Amino acid sequence: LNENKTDVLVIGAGAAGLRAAIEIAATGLHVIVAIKGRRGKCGATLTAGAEVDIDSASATSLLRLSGDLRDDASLFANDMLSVGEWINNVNLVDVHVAEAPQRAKELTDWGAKTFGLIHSPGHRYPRGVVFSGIGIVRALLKKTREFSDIEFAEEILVTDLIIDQGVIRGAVGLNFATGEVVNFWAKAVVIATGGCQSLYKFSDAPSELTGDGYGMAFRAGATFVDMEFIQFLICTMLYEPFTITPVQQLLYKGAWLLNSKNERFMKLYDTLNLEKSTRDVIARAIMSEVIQGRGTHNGCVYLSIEHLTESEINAIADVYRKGTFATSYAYDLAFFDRLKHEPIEVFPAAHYFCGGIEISNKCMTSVVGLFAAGEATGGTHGANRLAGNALSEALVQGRVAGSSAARFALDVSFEDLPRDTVSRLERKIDLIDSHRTTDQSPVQIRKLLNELSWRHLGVLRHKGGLQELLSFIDRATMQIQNLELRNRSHSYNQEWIEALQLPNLVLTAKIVSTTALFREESRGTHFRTDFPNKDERWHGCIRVLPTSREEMNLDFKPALTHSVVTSP
Amino acid sequence: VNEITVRILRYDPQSHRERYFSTYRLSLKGKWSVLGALQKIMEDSDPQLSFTYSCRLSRCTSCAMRVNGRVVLTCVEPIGGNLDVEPVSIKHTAKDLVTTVTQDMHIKPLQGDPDEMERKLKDAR
Repeated sequence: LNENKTDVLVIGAGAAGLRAAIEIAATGLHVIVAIKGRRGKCGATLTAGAEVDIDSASATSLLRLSGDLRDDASLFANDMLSVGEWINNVNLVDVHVAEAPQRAKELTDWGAKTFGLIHSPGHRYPRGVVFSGIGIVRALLKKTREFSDIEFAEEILVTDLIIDQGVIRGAVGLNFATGEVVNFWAKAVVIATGGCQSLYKFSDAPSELTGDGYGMAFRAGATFVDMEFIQFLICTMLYEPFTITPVQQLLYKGAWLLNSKNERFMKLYDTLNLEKSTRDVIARAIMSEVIQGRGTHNGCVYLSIEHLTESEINAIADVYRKGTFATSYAYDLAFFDRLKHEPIEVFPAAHYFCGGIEISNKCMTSVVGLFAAGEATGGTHGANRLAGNALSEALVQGRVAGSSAARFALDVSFEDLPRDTVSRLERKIDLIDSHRTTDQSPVQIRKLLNELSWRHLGVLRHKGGLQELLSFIDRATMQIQNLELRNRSHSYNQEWIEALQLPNLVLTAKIVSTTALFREESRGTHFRTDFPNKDERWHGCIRVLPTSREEMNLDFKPALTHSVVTSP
Repeated sequence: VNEITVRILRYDPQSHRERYFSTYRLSLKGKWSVLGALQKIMEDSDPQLSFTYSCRLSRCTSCAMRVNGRVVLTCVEPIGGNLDVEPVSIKHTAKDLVTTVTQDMHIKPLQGDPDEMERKLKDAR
């Protein structure tokens, strides 16, 4: 048996996980970072835009960027609350705006390059310190090499946390390079696994974001908050079936959106701004067209630049080719040649989970010894997230979670692992040698879930659709008890990994659809076609509490914050 | 619709079997990447096939392979015709198209590489 003893186990190695590991090792403790891929080659930080939001005055004073000195932490907080519909956890927002500048500064000290400061919608001042996602990961990895007590456990899918009498004892997982079951014996655990974008047919996040952290935390008894709020981004398929890239910048540069009847449908949804409308409005307009039968057979609409002149098109191509866009998405010329001659299909792709595991301002979850950081957590953003604020959150909470987990681990000693619990969790992993009788393929169930989630749990939601999805989820929950694998290999068995991730996708789908059904109003990223308006009775958060029953245990917590008008 | 033949070099150290090629026929509609074709083969006809990928946007470099003799990031490598797919390093193959941890570190991302971004920014000035 493969057993690893460590003070703190960190799950995930994006900005949040790496920053947590550095903080833990700096206190002299041993830390293992378990990741599904290889270090520097997985996690959503790599695909980020990648701005780190800090208040504009600090951008000027700390990073010598040309920001605006009128800005400060409280104005930054005010904008976060405003876009979050005033249901954010204000304690988390306070920590966020207070610590973000130092996190951005230390990244540059550790060797990450910056590429200027940008002003994104929703911010009253320029706050987006532009890095490269790859640059951030490289700088953090370089820093981890200063500590001999940081160990990486690569190509490990952590499946479950080991809980004994309500206290964390470690985790179990699969080493999918070797097919061995792995145990981690730890005093504290930090979850930094990101969101669950792979629930959806279309997503611009890395494929490994399958809600593993949500699944294991839920099964361990953690509470969740704001799970109904998910951001979508307008994207296209660079290549079938899943090389997906955002096209928002093309819309800003004058591209048109057309339905299958060749109509410029944005006229119906935002007469004034048309394709330059906000991404929420555009996403909902696209889905409305698709649902009303004016989409393509793939369930998309078209983006066209055919009306632009040759020189306008070349100007766009130039900007993209030179990569000077803050987002650093560089399309090749072939993409523009294609776009010049034929419209491309576009769709809203799952981009970011605003909600997640509920944490305190010390990044503690409701489970003793379990901490969480980054996108996996909920509360910081409320009902919607400001552009550029995901990486700030990951870095800020990574440090806080690391510090809290280290302090917790210093005060407790190793207790024996509960053998019965461990054996039970290990048996769940062993799908290869056990004999099963049904022939449900994990890939087929996942694809159905992807399609239904995209249709009913995406940018447009309504009671009937959510109920249909929930009954599918109930069936899938039964089916995944008896998955039959066609691939019996122990090494790099993708079907096995799919089968172990599927329960997390299904569980996350259940949490999101239950909360989306419960919230009978529209707010932030959550839009109900049957309740299209905001309703002040819903001014607050939906929490999902642990339960031993089949049904979700929901709790509505009114928000204390009220919108206060601050002069700019 | 594009009819192509995909030939993949296979290897499983646990099976004590020599390396061999598997051949598949695919008909693809629209613009496909090599990685997309591999995923289709894995899902539709050969669940035993092993390869790795993550970001699908030419940044993480997890999906690097040797295609028709050239090392490419398969997520953004368009399919022009028949494909010969091999791991980046035959000597360091862990299984099928997966290589061992340290062997593909030199492969550069096509997007978001900070050094490249800095160079472009200088050129633009």
